[in-house]
Amino acid sequence: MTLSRSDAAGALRDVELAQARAGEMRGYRHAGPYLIGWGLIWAVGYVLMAIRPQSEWGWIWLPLDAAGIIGTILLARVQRGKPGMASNGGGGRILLGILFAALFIAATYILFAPATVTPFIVFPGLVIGAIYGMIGIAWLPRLGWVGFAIFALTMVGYLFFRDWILYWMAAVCGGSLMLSGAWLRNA
Amino acid sequence: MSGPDEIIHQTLRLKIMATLNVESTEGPMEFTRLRGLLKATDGNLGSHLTTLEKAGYVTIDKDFVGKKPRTRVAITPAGAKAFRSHVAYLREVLEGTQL
Repeated sequence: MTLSRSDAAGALRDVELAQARAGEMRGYRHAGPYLIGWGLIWAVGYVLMAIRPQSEWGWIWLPLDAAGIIGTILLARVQRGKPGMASNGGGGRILLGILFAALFIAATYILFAPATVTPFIVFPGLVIGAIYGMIGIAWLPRLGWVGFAIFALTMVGYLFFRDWILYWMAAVCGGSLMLSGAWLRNA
Repeated sequence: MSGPDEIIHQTLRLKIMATLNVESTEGPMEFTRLRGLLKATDGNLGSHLTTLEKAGYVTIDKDFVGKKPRTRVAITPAGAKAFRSHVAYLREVLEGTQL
């Protein structure tokens, strides 16, 4: 069997496309557990906010965020430890990403100083939605849809269900993250 | 210089090997997931997998999860080596060092 250059080019293109698609699906499967974990944390955190006085809200999120960050790092280490997986410092990079997002949210609060508490509640949803949206546009399209859903649902809650915003953020946004995680995990 | 691998070169078999090669770090891949990734039919994918299995390039394991049958496919070390050699050959042809 003799192959021409165009045959070889076509075959290599097929290989690259198949590998890219397999890699993309693997990326989704790896992302799934993070979304489920953080969705659960959101749901628990917002429900606790709804049933506890506002003075306790900071203490609600401190342990939940710590648990989320520790879980994220552990999960990254487990995934990185699989045979053949490249060591790319996944846990450290994810941690830096989370810290940067938290700093961005805090800086925005300082800059714009919302007059009511509702923007404090919904803004993290918009930021997370935007982050997933950008990851989706750049690398993993399905994460883009997840980001768009979180972003849009957060705004729908803010505009139309403000009286129930804490439960909305828990059930709709936290639930969406968990459902999305389950969807991606089975990719 | 190595030549083309006629078993692997067929379009769907090449895609199967490329996909399984990427997935090899994750362990065996379920038939249904492979079918979805390659957008192939059951019969077409099954017949090409059988060809690759006969060549010793993949292993096919069938078992049950509860009462549900499950088929899993994995690339063998010989298959991974043959795939790498074939891709290297394709690159040589493309670069003009193998005509």
